[in-house]
Amino acid sequence: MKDKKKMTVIIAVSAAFLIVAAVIFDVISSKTEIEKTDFAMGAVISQKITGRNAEETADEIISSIKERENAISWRIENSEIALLNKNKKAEVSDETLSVLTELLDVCQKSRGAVDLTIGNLTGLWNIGSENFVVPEKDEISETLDAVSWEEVEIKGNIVTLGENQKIDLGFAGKGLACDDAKKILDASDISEAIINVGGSLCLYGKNDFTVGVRNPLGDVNDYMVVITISEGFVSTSGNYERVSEFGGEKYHHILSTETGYPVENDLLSVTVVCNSGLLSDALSTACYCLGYEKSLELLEEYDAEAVFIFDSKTVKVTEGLKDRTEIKNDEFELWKEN
Amino acid sequence: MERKLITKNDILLIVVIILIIGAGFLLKSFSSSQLVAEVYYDGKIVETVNLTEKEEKKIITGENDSVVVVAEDGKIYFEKSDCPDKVCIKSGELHQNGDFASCLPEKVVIKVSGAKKGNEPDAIVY
Repeated sequence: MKDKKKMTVIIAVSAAFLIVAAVIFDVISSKTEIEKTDFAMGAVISQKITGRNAEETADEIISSIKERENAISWRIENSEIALLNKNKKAEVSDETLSVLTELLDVCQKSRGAVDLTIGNLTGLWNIGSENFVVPEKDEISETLDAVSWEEVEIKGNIVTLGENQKIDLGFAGKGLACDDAKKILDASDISEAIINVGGSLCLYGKNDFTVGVRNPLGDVNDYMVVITISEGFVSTSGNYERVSEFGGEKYHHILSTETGYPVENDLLSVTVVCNSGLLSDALSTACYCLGYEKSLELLEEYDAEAVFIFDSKTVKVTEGLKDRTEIKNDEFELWKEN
Repeated sequence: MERKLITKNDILLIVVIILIIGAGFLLKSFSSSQLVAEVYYDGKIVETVNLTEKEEKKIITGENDSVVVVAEDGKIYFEKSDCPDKVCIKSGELHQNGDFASCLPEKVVIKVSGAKKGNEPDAIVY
């Protein structure tokens, strides 16, 4: 009789432990990290999310990015931007309107270093295409004439373009996708997340993210400097990103709104950190075009920080990143003021 | 004299049961310290390769089965692809946690994870 009672107690204690363990495991596992890889906006999107309903949140983020792509990609037939490019006048949604307004502001503040009416020029070059050829000089200068953000008119939700203008939001699309991701993360029960849209990052839920900046002279997985930053957005523009070769020459995808040719200066890449994905993306392109000196004012205006990597293998960072930057590759040197 | 409801031996038995279950959990978490490469096509895993055990595999995938991914000697890389730019092949060999390569036109991605050394950054911006 006693033995039977004793067995019951042992089983009960073990069972109680198992139940407690199972509950703890359940709580932990519903907060486990998930990793997901998808394609949208012509880029790989990889998500690392920790928190309750991580899986559903990741799916929601992808559909929201695809929705955005369907509105703003000129490549997608009948997208808002495609229709605007075709008809030169169109009514756009509030979301697209606010993107255009914000980007026109960057166009203005960067004094046209980035210009959202660059569509026909990027189309003419078509860098990264299969049978790439360098366009004729005359064609380039003719196309460049129409690149002018000042001609874009906005009245209410009606946007009007100049006669030969086409909008290309390629310089801000990935960053915008990061903003969309952030909105969904904010509305979910997520403790930590890293959303990577083709190299642009949305960092969420931590104050000490370590971010490696790609070595512009190395391969995809090679980083040469690490910055430690709190949650926010990071984007890089570099001359290695999309490159075509013609007649033994290399042509990268960042086009100068001054010359109509790929930007040529002493920079290999510019990385911008700020509290908006759209801005981090657009500013990294603008700073790459402007060069170090002229970028500083622009960055200050948007309260953004940046890492500049020069072809002399020197690295310059803005004030806010000075104590947060660590060089990881001996070939490069952090520039210090005397 | 009445026997105690639970003796020392019984407590020992409970502890052993708990230890066995605990060991199970530990073993499970240990397996994640292995370096594993995942090959995705269109966002879905088509193959998983254990790089720590130097598993050898030839994976054929992509839009028209035109991409060849090779795993050997603890490394994994794009060997062939019909894409125009060959960015994937230029990505080289992947062999450590966080390594990543993709062939956008063919929608193929290789990702290496596990066996974190502890000093790698959380993410890479490019």
